[in-house]
Amino acid sequence: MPALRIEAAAGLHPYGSLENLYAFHSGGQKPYLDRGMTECPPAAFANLKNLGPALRRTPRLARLALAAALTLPYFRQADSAETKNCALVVATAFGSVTSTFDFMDSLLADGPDMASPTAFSHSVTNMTAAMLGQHLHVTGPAMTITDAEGDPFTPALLTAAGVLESGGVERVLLCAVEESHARMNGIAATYSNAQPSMEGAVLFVLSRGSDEACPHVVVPTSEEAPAPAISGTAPAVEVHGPGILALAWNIALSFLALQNEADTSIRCLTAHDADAHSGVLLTMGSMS
Amino acid sequence: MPNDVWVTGAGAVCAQGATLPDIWNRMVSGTCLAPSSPARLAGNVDDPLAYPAFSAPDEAFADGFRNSARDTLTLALRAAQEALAGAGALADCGVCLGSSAGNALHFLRDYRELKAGRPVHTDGFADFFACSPGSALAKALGLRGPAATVGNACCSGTDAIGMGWQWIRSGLCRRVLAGGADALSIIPYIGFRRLMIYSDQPCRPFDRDRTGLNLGEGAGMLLLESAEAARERGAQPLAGLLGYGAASDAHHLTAPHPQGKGLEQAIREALRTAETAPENIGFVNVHGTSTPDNDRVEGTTIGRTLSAARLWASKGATGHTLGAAGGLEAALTVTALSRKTLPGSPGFAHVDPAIGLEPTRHTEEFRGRMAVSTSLGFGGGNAALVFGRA
Repeated sequence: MPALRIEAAAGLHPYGSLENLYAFHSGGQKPYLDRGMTECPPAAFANLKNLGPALRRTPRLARLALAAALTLPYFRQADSAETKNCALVVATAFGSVTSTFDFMDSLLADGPDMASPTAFSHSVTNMTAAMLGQHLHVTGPAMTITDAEGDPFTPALLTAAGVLESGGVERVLLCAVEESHARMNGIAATYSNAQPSMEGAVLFVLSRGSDEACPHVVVPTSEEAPAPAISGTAPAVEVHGPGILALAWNIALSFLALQNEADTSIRCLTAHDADAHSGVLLTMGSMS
Repeated sequence: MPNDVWVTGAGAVCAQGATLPDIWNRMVSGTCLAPSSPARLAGNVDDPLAYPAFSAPDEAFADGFRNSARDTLTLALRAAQEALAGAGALADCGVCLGSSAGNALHFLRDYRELKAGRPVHTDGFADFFACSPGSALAKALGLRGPAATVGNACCSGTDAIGMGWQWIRSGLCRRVLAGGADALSIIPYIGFRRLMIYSDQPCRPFDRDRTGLNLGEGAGMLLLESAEAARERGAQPLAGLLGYGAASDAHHLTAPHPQGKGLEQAIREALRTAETAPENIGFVNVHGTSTPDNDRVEGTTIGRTLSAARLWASKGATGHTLGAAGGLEAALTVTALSRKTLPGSPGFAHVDPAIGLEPTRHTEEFRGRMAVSTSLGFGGGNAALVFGRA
């Protein structure tokens, strides 16, 4: 896979921002994860106030992504040079759970002739990418990658690499996002191997990286299978929390651990075994 | 060039047939079946199902229709097996599968029971997790390359093929099975009606008197290979996939940009990556949903950017198959190129003066060397593929 250069990273987590989360690690603490604490607090969305009425009817999933994106300097100013040559790639396992359940609720309660059209339009899987594009004025390609039981983030990385290699844009805003929904968590626990989702958004601004070999860290790709070996100078970070966003959080935290390096890039190799279980080897490190 | 991408296999299923040749024969002979009440959706909600839809033939669901995500996987698998026929074992092949309903939380019957505190006896929840389209298709076919499900609403199939093209061009993969699939689902069937863009009559893409879309179901899959990988196994190209472009309107969640800004950008990017000029495009298989907005914006944009091309609107035969549409229409575009024939556009009768373009009325000979397939979708997505005759 062509290398992807991480220009910036941001995140929104029940514990706060990406920097808040990293502080736990750099302080040598292993944050205690309260399994009941799965939602981001209202204060996490404070920076959305500037959007004013444009925020009306914006579903929670899109708010999570927007609140994280607006912490990045790239997107604080509409129509900046950075957004003009930018693509969006959103990774989400379930899309907007609240909107889809809202539509089903209205259909069951009010019948086919009165079900909510707004909830239906917000239930479409690429709603978050669409709202990111509208609010951030990003007019490049917008791709939404889903996988209900597997891993939407790894193919989203490959998607970002393909988009950048095609040469039409200079940057990709890659966003992994999930919302916590009690009923959906219950369904997932009963009918799948998926772990209850801790909501949040993890964002990366990516550009094409160098093709040179780099010293690297191997990023753990699941809680059960921590990094088998570490090379290079960067410290390993622990997998943070259960759920679908774990890999994205690990990359973001590794990026902060490496941020003193001049040029941090990631590569990702993926394959399936005979039972089509996906395997991922993800490396990141400095090109300098 | 080592990065040239060939289409070496194609498969499709939709209301007009359970294989691509069956569908094609109906289209060129002008004997397409009309849409009808989607009886398979009965039992979800109390609804007369009076709005017509294009349902796939019963043989497409040999094990029955389940009203779950498994239906989409069944259609995808059928089209994929047709696309892979004769190719042998291609374990290194990746999968890019677009879907709109197949990867969404469309398990209304299960949800109703759960909400009411009753035991759930249907398969909606379990199938949702077991049938995530891209990875489940890869697993079913034993393909071990990377697998992705593209959820870009009505652009999903076109973008999935474009992604596969990018994966091969950038060296991520040598082969990708790419396309789209969606079975009928009660959620979009009601949802589009509530958005007031679903016609209670057979749809009429690009026609002056069009009143909205009809949903359909189906799948369309292409086997994409680098020219080098195809030659190694002695495969012949059906067509070349020459270029791909995508762009966002960043304008509205459900309506296209009134001037087709994103679509124009997508078409121009597709031409740029194909290294070709607009005058070389012989025909466009249009998205043509039959909604007043889509067809006006798409038609005027194509008239501006690809003015020399013939138009072919095929959704009057297939219905709007959502995430499958781009895959299905790509398979039809490849077939039209290779057979040097353009079918008519079912439902079209009168030129809309607001568009000023006339799609094919009847089957006609086509001698051009390149074609474009376009898609527009909810969320303001736009995508275009450029195919070339082999």
